[in-house]
Amino acid sequence: MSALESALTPASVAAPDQAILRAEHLRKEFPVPQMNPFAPKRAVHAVEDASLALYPGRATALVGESGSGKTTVARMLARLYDLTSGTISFRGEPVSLRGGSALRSYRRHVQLVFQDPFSSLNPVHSVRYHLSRPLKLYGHATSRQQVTEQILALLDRVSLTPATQFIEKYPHQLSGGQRQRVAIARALAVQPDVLLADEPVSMLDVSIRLDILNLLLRLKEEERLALLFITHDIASARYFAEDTLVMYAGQMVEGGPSEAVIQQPKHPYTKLLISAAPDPDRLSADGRNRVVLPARGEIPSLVTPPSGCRFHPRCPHAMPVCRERFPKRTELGGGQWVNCFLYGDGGNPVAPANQSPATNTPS
Amino acid sequence: MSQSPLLPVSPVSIEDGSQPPLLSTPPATTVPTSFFSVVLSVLRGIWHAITTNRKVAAGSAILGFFVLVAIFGPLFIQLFVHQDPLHYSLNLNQPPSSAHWLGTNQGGQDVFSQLIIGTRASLTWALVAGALVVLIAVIIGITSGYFGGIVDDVLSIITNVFLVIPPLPLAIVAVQFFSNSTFIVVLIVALTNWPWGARVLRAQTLSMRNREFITASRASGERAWRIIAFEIFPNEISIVAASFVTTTIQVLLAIAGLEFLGFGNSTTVSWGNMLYDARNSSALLLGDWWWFAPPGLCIALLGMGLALLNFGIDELADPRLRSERRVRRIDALKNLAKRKAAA
Amino acid sequence: MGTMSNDTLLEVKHVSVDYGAGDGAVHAVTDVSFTLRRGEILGLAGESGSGKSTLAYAVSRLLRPPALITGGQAIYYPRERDDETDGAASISKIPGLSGVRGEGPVDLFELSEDELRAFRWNDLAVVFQSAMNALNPVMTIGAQITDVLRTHRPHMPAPARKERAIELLRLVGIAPDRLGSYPHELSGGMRQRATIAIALALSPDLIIMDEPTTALDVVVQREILTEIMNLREKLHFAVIFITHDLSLLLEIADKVAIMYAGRLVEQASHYDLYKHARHPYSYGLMNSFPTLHGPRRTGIGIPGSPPDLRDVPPGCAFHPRCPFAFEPCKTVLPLLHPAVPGSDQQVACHLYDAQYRATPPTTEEIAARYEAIAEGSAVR
Repeated sequence: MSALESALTPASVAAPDQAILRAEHLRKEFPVPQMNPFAPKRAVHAVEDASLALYPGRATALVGESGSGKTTVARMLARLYDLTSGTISFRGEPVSLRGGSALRSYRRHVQLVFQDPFSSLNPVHSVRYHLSRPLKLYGHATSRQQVTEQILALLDRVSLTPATQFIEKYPHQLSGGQRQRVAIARALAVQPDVLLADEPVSMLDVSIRLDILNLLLRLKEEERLALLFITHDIASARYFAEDTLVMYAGQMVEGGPSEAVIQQPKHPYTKLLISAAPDPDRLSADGRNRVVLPARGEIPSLVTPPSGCRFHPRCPHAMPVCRERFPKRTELGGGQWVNCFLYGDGGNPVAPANQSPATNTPS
Repeated sequence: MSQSPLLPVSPVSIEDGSQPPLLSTPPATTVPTSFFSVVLSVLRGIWHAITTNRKVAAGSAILGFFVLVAIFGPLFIQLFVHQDPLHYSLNLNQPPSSAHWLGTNQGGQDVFSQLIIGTRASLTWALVAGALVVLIAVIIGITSGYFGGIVDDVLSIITNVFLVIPPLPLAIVAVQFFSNSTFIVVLIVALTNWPWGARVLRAQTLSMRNREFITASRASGERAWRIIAFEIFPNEISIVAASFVTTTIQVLLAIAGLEFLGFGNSTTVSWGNMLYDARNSSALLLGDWWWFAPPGLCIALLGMGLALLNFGIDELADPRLRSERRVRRIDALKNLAKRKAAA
Repeated sequence: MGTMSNDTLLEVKHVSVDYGAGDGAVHAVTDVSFTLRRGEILGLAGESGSGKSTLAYAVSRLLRPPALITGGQAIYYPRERDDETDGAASISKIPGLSGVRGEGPVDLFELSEDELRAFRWNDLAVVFQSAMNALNPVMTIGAQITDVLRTHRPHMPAPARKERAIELLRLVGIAPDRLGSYPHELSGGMRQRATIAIALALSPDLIIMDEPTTALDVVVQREILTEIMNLREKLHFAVIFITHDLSLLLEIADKVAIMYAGRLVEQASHYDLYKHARHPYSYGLMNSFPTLHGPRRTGIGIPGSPPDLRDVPPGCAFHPRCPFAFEPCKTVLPLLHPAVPGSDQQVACHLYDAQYRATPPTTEEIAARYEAIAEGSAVR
């Protein structure tokens, strides 16, 4: 556990700033409904082993393709899904996994921003209604006047100005970016310490994505929010987050300071992800980008996932041991770590080390 | 990101009132917020719908006419016609005349006043039963869809059981077991008609449950009943309205049918009972058209009015149905002009 | 690029498309012209509501009411009938009926229903964003390919059709034993490959691809893009590639056209655009994508949001969001013209019009302006 402890503490944080939200060894299985009651139970193994820590005033990106389990992790942290196993602790205290008032007081601190602002706001309700509900639910405002004042302040904070013009609007009267701002304001209304943002810009118009990201960054600075940024776009993880975690098929494969993970990726999957990302800066002299992908294929079935490291069927460096078990976390220094036998097994050398790890940056 | 080009509204991002902040900031204006003004704007929307859509206009004119007759008809009879619909006289089987505008029946009763008085019973019971059907359907359907799991299983079984109950035999048995009261008829009709609406609403709720705004409400800690009543239900109002209109037609016909077969309360005056009496007295054989034709026509007319209203609701709910037709017309005109020019 | 012939395939002239008619009409595409050469990949970029998909669907005549083509021409230059010189090395030409080939240029907007049916598949195919919706879920992919062949090549014997289907699947990188698979048995990437195979069935000269990779993950997206590039090299079809992802377009397109509020605002070779985007909107769009390399600087994006097409600002539609906006932008509509004399980079912007501004802005100047508004407006 001590290795994990040190791994999760970002190297660049000088003060021993306590993690505000810490999740350890989260696992989630969704049972597959079956017609035959005598058939063996089957389940989607959506998240196998995920651990992460969030710090006040710091953004952590969770990068992965669809099916990697990144959204499931966010929803487990938001307590929308029950954990199959694992623990969540808030400010060092383990979080009770029962519902009722304990759940409500947890949600008082941890809020979720959804991906699609076109469906995360109820079309029949006004902006005022959306923002007044959390205020009333958590007792931040009691009288109608208080509610109005606080809503106006919230709208100001997410730069929907003049706020008085937006308060009575309905979702269909707002553009995508404005809706996402309202959704962010709704999360802020609770006065949370942790904001979980699940692909907050991927449904928005390209030209306004940066605006929303910048807004979230500003809020992070101003309010010392701990941010979890779920994304499939590794370039925006670099832009947005101090730390980056990479997930593949429910397993966390690499993590550390964003710049280290993206400029010197170690895990073959991280390398694949980065070489596949659109990158006009790679245009060669004839104006063509001739990327040769180091691997092919797609994320495997999560009902019957590959054994051991789930990336091994696609991995160009796969070894027999990769099929047997998932490697332990190996520290690489500077806060970066990787779960890959190419770099050892929890710091110990792997017995049949017949492959030399590729250390250079991607093509 | 790119939306289908076939949808007329979606590719247009809407941003009225919110000027880009670079150039100018428009003066802060607050939209009036009182409850009264909201109600007023809703009414204005309905009025707009009635006046712009011909089907809705015709449907609501017909329905409005019958509602007026139901409310003021008895008064009108009392003040101007001076006939008691239940009063037997010696003027049997009279064709329409100035004394009896729609003639008399075999008991010498005035058909016109029966028709007018009967409107109230027929319309009221149809609307009551329609409302009852929708109420049960909404409660069962949304609960079943929202909670899922074992609740859904149990409610679905109940729904399916009621779905296969044959309404007519049940009504006949129930009426004979209890008494010939209209209330029993309405109850039976309501009990056998709700499963369809419940199934539609359950399906709709199932799809809505996974929409993000419902998840967002749960994540912000809303209670289940609040989510059902304030988040889901308002989104299904158009379905509920359409289902109300549809079931009201069915119920109108079902009640009239049962009364026609003699299972109604023969002491009240209604269109169905009039038809029952006409059949019993072989009015068809005798050629007393003024006896059976008016109530039959009224049922058909009211049913048509409601059906028109329902078409209108469909079109209002789907704006594509309106604009598409209009453009097709224009397209056709243009093609015509082209062909003329070519010729 | 050297293998491509230089002759024109499609000439789009002053095309306009409205949604609805009368007072409520929305001008989705206004006065757009461009030329597509054989074997060329034209990238159409823009945000939602910019009209990029509408334009492409207009060219393929797939628009349905309430959309209406209100003006313009789309001149298509069919290939000579026995033009076997481009003799597609690895793919057999199919003899028989062939669309509008060999009859001289035609205006696609004037085609009758019958001509249109022949034109589609034979000359033009469309690949949609969602492969799952484009494929029939109850037919095997083999059957879907042979179906196209049966409809358009009724005289082709069944064994030949099957052979052709296998050839097509192999071409797009699907093992031939997948012929009997249903769409749901394939992964997302495989499905999109299958739709491309179907599009290639009659070796069309033009393929319209509407965000073909948007629904896919980055790794699969890269595979599909590589596949498209390779196929283009082999078969010399032209592509109109629609996407909102400009960074992707710069990698695969030969020529990029950028649309804003229904009009073309810039048209340039991908390299010119990458090196120096001229229109402030193009520049802003390019810099809306965080980079993987280089210094990590604060991105700026473009202030405001795309306009409501029912209420497009007068003059240049971009002026309310433009950091350079000056008086003429609010009243005078800029037209597409060469950015610098003699260049084939065209831009619709008054900054490059000597009448309004003596020297056009440099890329650094545009960057500086954008940074200035980022500093100046905390409220955005």
